[in-house]
Amino acid sequence: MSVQVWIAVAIAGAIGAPLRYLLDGFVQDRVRGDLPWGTFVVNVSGSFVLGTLTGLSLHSGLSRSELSILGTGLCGAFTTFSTFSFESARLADLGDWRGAATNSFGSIIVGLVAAGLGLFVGSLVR
Amino acid sequence: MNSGASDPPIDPDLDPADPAQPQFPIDPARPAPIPFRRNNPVTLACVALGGMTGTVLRALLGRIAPTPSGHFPFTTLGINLTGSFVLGVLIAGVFERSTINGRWRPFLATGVLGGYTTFSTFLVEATQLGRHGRVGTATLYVVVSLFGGVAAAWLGILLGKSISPVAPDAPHSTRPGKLAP
Repeated sequence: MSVQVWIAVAIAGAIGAPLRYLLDGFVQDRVRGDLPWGTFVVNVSGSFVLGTLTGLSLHSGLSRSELSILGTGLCGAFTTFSTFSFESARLADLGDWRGAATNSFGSIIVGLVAAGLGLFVGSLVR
Repeated sequence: MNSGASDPPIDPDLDPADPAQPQFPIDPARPAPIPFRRNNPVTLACVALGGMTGTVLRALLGRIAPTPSGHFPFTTLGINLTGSFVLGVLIAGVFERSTINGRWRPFLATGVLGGYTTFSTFLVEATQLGRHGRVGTATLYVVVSLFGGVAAAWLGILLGKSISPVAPDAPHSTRPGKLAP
């Protein structure tokens, strides 16, 4: 990757993380209970976007550089696996096994559907 | 003071004092969260700087050890498991044991580790493996990532709790008897 692309990836990372922080808080402000819906929304939407970008890169004109910047950079920083794992572990730690299971399996199942949907949508653009 | 306030917060990306924090057990009498000012520019800058750092690190590792098409994504798995472990240690061992939260939490936890790990890459990789007929590999990847990630975070929390003494006035120290390992 060229220097310009690396810089763009870094900038995308600097944008994706605060976006996650703000959306997480925005969602959590509007829900009650113990489930981390904020992280869920962030991860599922980010997976959909990355799926779409990947589909576009496979079937349309999205370049490898563009995929690196928007995919690895933006979606990668926007979504988070560590927060997801921590939240599931903490829910289990607090004794909320149901919540831990719902959060972990739910995020993955819905996220996989989102990613697959994204790939499909991305493949529609020729 | 509501009953959930003494339980450790669930979302490590949000400030522990943020009223939007999910909490367990659920307190039905808990008032609706009041808007918490999150657009503090310094906090956002810390998250941004951390996100940049974690993302570049992840991208570098992806360059050093790329995963060929159809192969098991060891690099992403390694990144996600190590990141989950470190987050557990950081939150339980540092941020919930002392009062040095300040700007370090948004930088390290929300920023660096959030940018370093990735949920989207993981799922798209799994989906692509499945679509190319590697369903067994895809399933194994998802299962190992899920259980490995939660286990890594949990181990990190355990380690974090054990490496430093509990500060008596720490905002979210563990309640004896309930959370002691």
